[in-house]
Amino acid sequence: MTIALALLLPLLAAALMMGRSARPYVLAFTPWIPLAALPVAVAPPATVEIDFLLLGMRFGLEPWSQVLLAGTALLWTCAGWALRLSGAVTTPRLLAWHLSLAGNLGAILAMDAPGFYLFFALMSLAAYGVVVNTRRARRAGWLYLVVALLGELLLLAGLLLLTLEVTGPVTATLLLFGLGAKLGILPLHFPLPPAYAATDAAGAAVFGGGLTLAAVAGWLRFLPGVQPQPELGEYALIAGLAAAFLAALAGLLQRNSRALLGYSTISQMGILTAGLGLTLASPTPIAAAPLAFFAVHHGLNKAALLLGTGSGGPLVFAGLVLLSLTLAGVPLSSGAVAKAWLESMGETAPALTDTLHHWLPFTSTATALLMAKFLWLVHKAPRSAPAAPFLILALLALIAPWAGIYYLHPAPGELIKFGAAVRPLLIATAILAIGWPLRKRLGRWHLPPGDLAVLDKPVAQAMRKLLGFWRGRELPRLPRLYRLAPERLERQLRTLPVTGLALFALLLAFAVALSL
Amino acid sequence: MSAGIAPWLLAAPVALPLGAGLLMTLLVRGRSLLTLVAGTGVLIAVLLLLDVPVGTRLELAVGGWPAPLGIRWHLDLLAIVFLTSTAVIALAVALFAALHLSRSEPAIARHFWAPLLFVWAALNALFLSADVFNLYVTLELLTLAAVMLVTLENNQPAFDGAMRYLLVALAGSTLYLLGVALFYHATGTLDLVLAAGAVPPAALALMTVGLMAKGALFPLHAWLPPAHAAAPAPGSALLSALVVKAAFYILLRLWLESAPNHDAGRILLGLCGTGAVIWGSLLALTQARLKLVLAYSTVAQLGYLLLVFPLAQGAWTGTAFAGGVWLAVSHGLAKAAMFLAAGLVMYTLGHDRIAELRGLARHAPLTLFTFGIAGVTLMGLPPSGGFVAKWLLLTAAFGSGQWPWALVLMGGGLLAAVYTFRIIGAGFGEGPIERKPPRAPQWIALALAGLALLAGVAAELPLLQLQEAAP
Amino acid sequence: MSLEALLPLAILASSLVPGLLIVFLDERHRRTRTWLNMIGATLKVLLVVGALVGVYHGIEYQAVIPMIPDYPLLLRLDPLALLFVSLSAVLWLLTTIYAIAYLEGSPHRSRFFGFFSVCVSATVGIAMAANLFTLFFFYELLTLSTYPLVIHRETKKSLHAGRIYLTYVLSGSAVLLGAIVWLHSLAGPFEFAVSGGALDHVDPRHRPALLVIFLLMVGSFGVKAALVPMHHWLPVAMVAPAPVSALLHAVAVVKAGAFGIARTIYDVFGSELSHALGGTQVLAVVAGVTIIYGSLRALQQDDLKRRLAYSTVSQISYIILGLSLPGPLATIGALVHLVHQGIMKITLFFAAGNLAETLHLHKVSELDGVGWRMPWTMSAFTVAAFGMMSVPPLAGFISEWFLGLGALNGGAPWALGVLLVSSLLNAAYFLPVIYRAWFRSRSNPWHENLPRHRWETHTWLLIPPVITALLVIVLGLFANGLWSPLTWVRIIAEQEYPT
Repeated sequence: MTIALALLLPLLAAALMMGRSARPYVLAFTPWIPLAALPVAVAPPATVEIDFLLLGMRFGLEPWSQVLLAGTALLWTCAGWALRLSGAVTTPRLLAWHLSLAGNLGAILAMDAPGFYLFFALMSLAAYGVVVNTRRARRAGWLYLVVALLGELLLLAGLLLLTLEVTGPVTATLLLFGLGAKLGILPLHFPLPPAYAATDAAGAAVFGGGLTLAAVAGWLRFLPGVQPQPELGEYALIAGLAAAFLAALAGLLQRNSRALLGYSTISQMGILTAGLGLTLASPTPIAAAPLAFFAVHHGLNKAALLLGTGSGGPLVFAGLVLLSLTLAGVPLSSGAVAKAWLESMGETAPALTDTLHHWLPFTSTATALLMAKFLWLVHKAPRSAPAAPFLILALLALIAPWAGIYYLHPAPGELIKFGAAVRPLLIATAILAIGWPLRKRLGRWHLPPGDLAVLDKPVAQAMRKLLGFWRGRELPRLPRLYRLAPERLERQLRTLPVTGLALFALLLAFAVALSL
Repeated sequence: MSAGIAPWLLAAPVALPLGAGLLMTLLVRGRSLLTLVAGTGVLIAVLLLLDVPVGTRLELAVGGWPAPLGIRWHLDLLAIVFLTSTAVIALAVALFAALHLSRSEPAIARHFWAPLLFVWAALNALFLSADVFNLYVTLELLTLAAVMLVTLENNQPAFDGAMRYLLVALAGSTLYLLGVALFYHATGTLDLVLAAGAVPPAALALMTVGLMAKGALFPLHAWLPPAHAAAPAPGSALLSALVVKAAFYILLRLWLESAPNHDAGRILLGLCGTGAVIWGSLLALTQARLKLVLAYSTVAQLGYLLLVFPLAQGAWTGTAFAGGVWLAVSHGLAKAAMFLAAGLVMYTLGHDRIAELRGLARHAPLTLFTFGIAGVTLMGLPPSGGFVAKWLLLTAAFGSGQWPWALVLMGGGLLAAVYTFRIIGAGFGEGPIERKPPRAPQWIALALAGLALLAGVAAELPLLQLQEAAP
Repeated sequence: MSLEALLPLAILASSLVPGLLIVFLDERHRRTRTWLNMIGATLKVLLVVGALVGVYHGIEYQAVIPMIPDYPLLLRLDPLALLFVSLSAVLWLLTTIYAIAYLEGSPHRSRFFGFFSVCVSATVGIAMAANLFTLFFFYELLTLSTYPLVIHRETKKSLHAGRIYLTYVLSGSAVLLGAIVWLHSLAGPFEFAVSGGALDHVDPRHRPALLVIFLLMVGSFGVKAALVPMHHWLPVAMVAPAPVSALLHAVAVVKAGAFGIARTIYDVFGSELSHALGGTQVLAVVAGVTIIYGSLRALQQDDLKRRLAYSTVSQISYIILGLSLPGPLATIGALVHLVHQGIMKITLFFAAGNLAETLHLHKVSELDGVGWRMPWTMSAFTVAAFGMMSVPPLAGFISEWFLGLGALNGGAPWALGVLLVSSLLNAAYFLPVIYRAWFRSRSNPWHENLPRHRWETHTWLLIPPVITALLVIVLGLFANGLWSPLTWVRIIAEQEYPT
């Protein structure tokens, strides 16, 4: 079946990496392999159940996951192309690449909890190999791995509870944070910017694009099982909005364009989280479509932006500008449509909806400012990679979401709200105008990518000290009790007088005992 | 089994070794051969006697004098068990000595046979005896023959040990005889069964203490280790495995058949047993010489046997009795094997210092293996007879609610493990040897140990019978 | 003797008889020894397959050897026994192949292989035991037959390790014997129950005594199963050669301890009574502490085998934790982990042995770049390590999944927390090894210990770990299949919890 083809092709590629002679071929085919998932996304087959695999696996698609799958396939294709064009790729990295791809696709296709966990874990762990391609990237990779593992464990706990049909705030929180770790949910966000900064364009593209889509797929598949969660939803809304602004602020203080994009991801995913919170709090089932659409819109855009950071030239810059505007939600862009759709989600929880309606426009402002800084950074430090993959992906990012929206939404025309989209951008322009003269002074302010990540060295040292401190001995040794003392006593016993004494004493004892 | 054959069959285990022993004075060569022939004859007779159904008491009035005046010999299950195990052990020791003694200790080889045969004859007579005076006579014969074994080596420690043994044994005999006198005076008979229930406490006390002295039961044990260690290896085997069991046998008969209802006395016996286990094991741990370790181990294992007395009460009499008897049998097999192996160690290395046993594993692995297997019995681990016995004794202990004795049993096993593995562990590594160990004697020792091991597996029928036949 | 009685005895004999013969074989008769070994191992696997088919069709296999009146040696092939027997048989075959290559040229091989075989016989005896007497019988036999293996090298360290080993294990067995006889004095002779416990007929007045007996029994089984604080012997015993460590830690000794606890909880006391008495709560806490302690200590070790030893301490307590939690899900997790952990751990030890034997590498800090020199070995190691970290679709994930479900279902969410933290710690002490092997490059040349082979090392040293690594993958990926351990364990759990 088509699903099997889509999943097995990357696995086959990974397997072929073991053989030295096949490696060049695998590299050559890398861009084409993800395309096998497109037919599945566009014309999904019926749900497939394979009982004997793992704990009984199920694969299938709903409309929202079709969109996710399509977006994933497209961005992996272009990123794969960029990877191939980037020159020598090490064997471990290519191996990890294909394993991560397989995991990504499988995570979206899997409908049962263990299966999802399988592919998600595969994707996460293999992503380490994708990100860490140089020595410098090791620290970022280590940070990523720690949080990824933590996220896996939280996810596992959540899935276990879900399997036992324990639907409470605990389960929901576990799922939220377990999957959210990939999306930069606070406070697990800190590996993302350093990872983005440390890896090359292609790696960052799949990292920022693919992984987020898989995580969103997980949210949308499993959170419906624990609905409704009013308190958690409210928390998610507020935290998401906070993240949106704080991340944007932190992003403004970055000097590395990719790290900035990392913060942008955290910010955008914060918006997504807020939307999720809204629908989580309402008694009606989760509105998966708007969230999925937002995720795909963001995923394609972000992947394209990341690919673009590797290339230079006026065409590339123009594309980057367009993408930035889309992300900021310029009218008639997919970004605006996505945000509008998010806003229209919350009919049933008035208080929360009001909050969202109030603050969402300002996130557009923040995004616009952030992207302005991004463009400035890119403009100052052009790169040299071939631009073709970027251009194709940028095109796809601008156009493909429209196909998605028409597929998912009954009447997309309703979502085009000119005024609501323009206002935040005007505010952003105003702020830019005010801040422009001060740009040199402001540019000196700087936050290291990953903010909290600076604590990694002190924490590691503390833990090492803690462990080493208690490198204790095992049980105390038993003292050697015996030695000469018994021998001396025995020698006394051996002498005849003592023996005779013992004889009579014993006799007496028996006489007494027997007469009792 | 028709009554016609039985009487001389009953006499054979005593007559054959006794006769052979007396003939030793005439023979110059061929002593070992005669011993082996006589021994085989005894074994065959005993095996034929096994056919006798359980519960029957074969009787032989020696010289035609019936009870209560004459010497009567009884054969019941207890006797046959001891007769069989003694026959097996003694024959194995004899075979070992026949093959090995002339090579390892040529000076004394010729003088070994007579004491062996007299010990054997005395033991068999003791097992068959039915009255207390008879027991006295056989016990004396046994002591004298045993002392002969100790003195074989012809050196100062041997003489010291033998002297001490003799003196303590004589003191014990005196007390025992006093007890017999009181016994006869109070009950009017010397027969154990006939006097049941009427034995006066004083007599019992005297006889018990006397037997404890002769049997090296704590706290009258101190003469045993030097004596057993000073004897040549086959002699030590006989002493530790067989001779000491005689006293226990008589105590069993006394306390279980003739004077069953003295709870406090039994507890006292148990306490002495506890002391033996602890003290013997402790001292075994500290010894520098292999033979002394084994001798103290005997002291400890005899302590176990004393535990039978407090445990054999009420519904659990049969279980404890079976356990005790089986322990005696297994210990005999194992200890004989160990002493024979110790003899091989002395032959191979020239000494028996534990600190310098290195090289045994490489050059005499069978010997080390023998120690291991025999040690399994001492430790009471499966599948040995020691384990089976321990299980039965523990069952009796828990069943009758006397769990403190259970603690002694378990702790004793652990201590035995410590000194056994001390020996075994010392045998590994590289070290020099003086001579290569001979093959056949090694196999004999191993076979004995193997029998002790198998005594657990093949035990059900004998144990069942013992349980039912308990007095 | 009927076929039903012959089969258990044959399974036992297929390793006991060759073992005893080999012990007395001269060192020179190499080929005889190898033939005896391989025939015995193969025969055992075939017999086990036959037994599996037979039990599947409902045949009951039982053999009785009378020993003590009322307490015979009783061997029975119930599903739980078959689980352990199959594991032992398969892994014994692989370890035999491995050991033959590993010990090439070393002394005392007859002694080694002889006791090796006796050791496996003891293990299958423990598995097939159908009453406490038999269980104890073979449990002690296991102790005795593993001692010569631990001290095999006869160095001072080995002898010291042997002493420590015996001290712990024999003390445990003395307590066990006392507890068993005490139990029989209260309950009379009994067999393991097919479903539920065997002690329902005991007077409720004896409940406090039963609790003490329970604790004594699981405690003394826990010595072999390396429960804290009785675990010290395990890392010390690492001085033994790699095949011994592989067998001891994957199959024989530690699993026997865990198996004993399983029998105690399910077939002697029954899960209802065990939980009612309260003993399982204590056991669960001790197991939880052991899990964390073992993992933490593993982090501190630089010696690879010691690290693996502490990992074993931790992982066996996963099984014990699962056994002590109520509910069928925890049972399934525990028993399936018994199988899976065995296979994963043996792979790790095989790999460690290969590293030591081929390249003289004993410490983690020496392993830079070894993945490229010995790719097959390190791939097997990597697979097994990921399995230990419960990464799907490997076998370790399946057991962790069910253990997690069981923890939540049994009302002990803290147990899930313990398991998750331990997974994290597992990652912390396995990932650095994998990282060093594959992602770091070597500065000094390799210290080649063996002559060059066609593959990275002797073929027979490679085949076992590759097979077991494949098993780790297959048993996880096809866990829901018809013949997987998981399916088998589900049958066992159904028997134990009939509702």
